[in-house]
Amino acid sequence: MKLIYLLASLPFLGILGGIFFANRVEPFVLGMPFILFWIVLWVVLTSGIMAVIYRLDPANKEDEAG
Amino acid sequence: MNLALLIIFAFLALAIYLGIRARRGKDMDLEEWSVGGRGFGTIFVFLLLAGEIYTTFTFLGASGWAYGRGGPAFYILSYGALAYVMGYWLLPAVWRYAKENRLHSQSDFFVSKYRSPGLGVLVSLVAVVAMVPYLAVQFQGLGIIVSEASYGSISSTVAIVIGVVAVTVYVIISGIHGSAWTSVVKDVMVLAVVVFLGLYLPFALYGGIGEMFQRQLSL
Repeated sequence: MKLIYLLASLPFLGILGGIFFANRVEPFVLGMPFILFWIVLWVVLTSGIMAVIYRLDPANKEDEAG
Repeated sequence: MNLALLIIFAFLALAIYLGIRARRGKDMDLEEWSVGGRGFGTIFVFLLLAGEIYTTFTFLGASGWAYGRGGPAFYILSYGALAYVMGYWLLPAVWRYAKENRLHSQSDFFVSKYRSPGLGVLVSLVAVVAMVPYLAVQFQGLGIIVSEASYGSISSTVAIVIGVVAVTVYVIISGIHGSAWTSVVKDVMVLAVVVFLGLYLPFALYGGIGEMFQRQLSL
């Protein structure tokens, strides 16, 4: 178990945990009600987080380059 | 014959053509038929994965949910993102194991990994029990969309029969290659329509996405 893998728990905390605090309409962000903005934000952050994990994961270093 | 019918049949013909043509140049054995000779490239798999989350549910179920329930419909965005996070550890491991052991199906995996033919049979049964209603719902959605899009000149039942025959033909002939190539057309079209409608409707009717939500709030 590598520490970098713990990053992957952030989307679960943000989406499943954060939703209790983000469950509101105001303020509007980028035209979206806050709850929609929160979910969209986490979908985008999840991509970023997984990209970081992929880069740093030693499991992707040795085998297959493609 | 009106324009709507022409477009519907043009896409049907394109799907069947691509589905059958996908076989060309392949030595069709079971491995090629079921898992594409394990040779689909990274980009192709990425596009298929990105596109496969869009089904008739995107047009009918998801919009119905959002219309009827509002906020809870955002679960659709959430579960996709979280499922792919788990897939990062699950899917490559399954893929490598299946390649080493030359497996073709989900039940093969359970038979081999857990050394239990009984478990494989159980997984097959569960898969069939799960897939049949899923297919039925998807075809029902297809029937609704085609009958609406053709202004009722193709009934839902006829649309479903045509759909089932077309899918069965190209899957038998080309296997996963057929599904993959028709999926490319479907994925591009669905994505284009979703993005277009998602932007066009709020901007044309309300003057912007924020304005649309504000307007709903004031109702």
